[in-house]
Amino acid sequence: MIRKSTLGFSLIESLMIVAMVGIIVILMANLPNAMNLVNKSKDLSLIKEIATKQIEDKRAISYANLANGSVAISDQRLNTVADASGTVLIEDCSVDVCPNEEHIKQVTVTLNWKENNKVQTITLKTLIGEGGLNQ
Amino acid sequence: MSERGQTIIILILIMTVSLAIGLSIVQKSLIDVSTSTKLEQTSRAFSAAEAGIEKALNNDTDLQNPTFTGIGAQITNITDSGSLPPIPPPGDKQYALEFPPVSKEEVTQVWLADLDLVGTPFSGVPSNYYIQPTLDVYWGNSTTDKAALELTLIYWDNTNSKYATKKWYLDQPVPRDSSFKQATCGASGYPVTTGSVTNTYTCKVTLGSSPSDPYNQALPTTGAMLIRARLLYNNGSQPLAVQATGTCGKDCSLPPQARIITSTGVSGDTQRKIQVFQRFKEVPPYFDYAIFSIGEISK
Repeated sequence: MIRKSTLGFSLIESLMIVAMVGIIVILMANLPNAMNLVNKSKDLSLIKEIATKQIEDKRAISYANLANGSVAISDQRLNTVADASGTVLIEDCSVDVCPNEEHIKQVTVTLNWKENNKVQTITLKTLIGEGGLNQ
Repeated sequence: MSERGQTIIILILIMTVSLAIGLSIVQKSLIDVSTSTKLEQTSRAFSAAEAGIEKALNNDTDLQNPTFTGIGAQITNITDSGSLPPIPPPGDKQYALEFPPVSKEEVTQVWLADLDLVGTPFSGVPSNYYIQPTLDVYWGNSTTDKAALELTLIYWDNTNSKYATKKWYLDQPVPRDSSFKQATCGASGYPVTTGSVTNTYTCKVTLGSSPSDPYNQALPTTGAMLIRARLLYNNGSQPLAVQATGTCGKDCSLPPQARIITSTGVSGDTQRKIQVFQRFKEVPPYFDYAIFSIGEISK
């Protein structure tokens, strides 16, 4: 008579263990990735807030005081993002957009920061005209 | 024998839980990224729409470039309503002009003189434009927050050769002050058509409708300059509209009062639209509370 053994693991049990270890390994590998994505979106939202604020600040200035040139952005919140820096460029509206030499300035806000050692950039552009919104 | 099945069940449970946790983390981070990307696109589209408005406000004669790109996002369209209200063909009544809701402190101004010819407004007789003896004014959209209306007509008094004012104080049924007259206000309201939209107003008054009543004599058909309107007693902002009476085309229409500029900015999948209601030359509200005189004021 063949005695049925209850010792050791059945094939099913071994397969399940292998599957579980696999799943846990995949999860562990994905977790840092997911955390990075969360960080990335947090930084992106903050940077977007900073860029929007710069545009709003420029809108609050009267047209006559909008001097052409590039100025570095100083915003305390930039310190919380890795290697973040930015500039606000004010220039006369290009001929393509303003063919009639309208009194309009083009404002370009550019912000750079690092995400996983990769440089990220966002650019926000708008026009501010003499006698326009808020003027 | 019976214990072997239990191990599998526990294993499956652990696997399910860890899978659920893992998937939720991944999903959350993906949603975060897509939300912040959309937010970024939204602000880009909004900046573009604002740029379109700036351009339209600056170049106020015509919009030669109603769509343009090159500022990071695309502006799909800038439209200009042209002068409002438009001049109707003879036989039609001019559309009403609806002002944006007026708050308690605000004053809205309706030009009756020809704005293009006024030039230096206080140096002489205004150029006639609206020459009808009556004008319809509609206001209010609430039967609970009841607004009263103060109207001031500024006109050139020909007999005394100087500018003069005439005031109307109008309230809803049961006036809250004895100096107010009762206006016709109805719960069903008065439908007012402004172009393609019809809105309902609570109260209506026809200025100059009863020449025999000294309070509501006909409007001056020469020398009428402007009417300033102010809502009283209201807690929230309420709309106001004016409509020319008569159906004789240009002579029965109000001069241009405003224009509406709409600009749509597009970035990626997001679209933002900005609409600006631009009124023509308007005296600031504090002018109503100050005395101005070309010459000296004798006390």
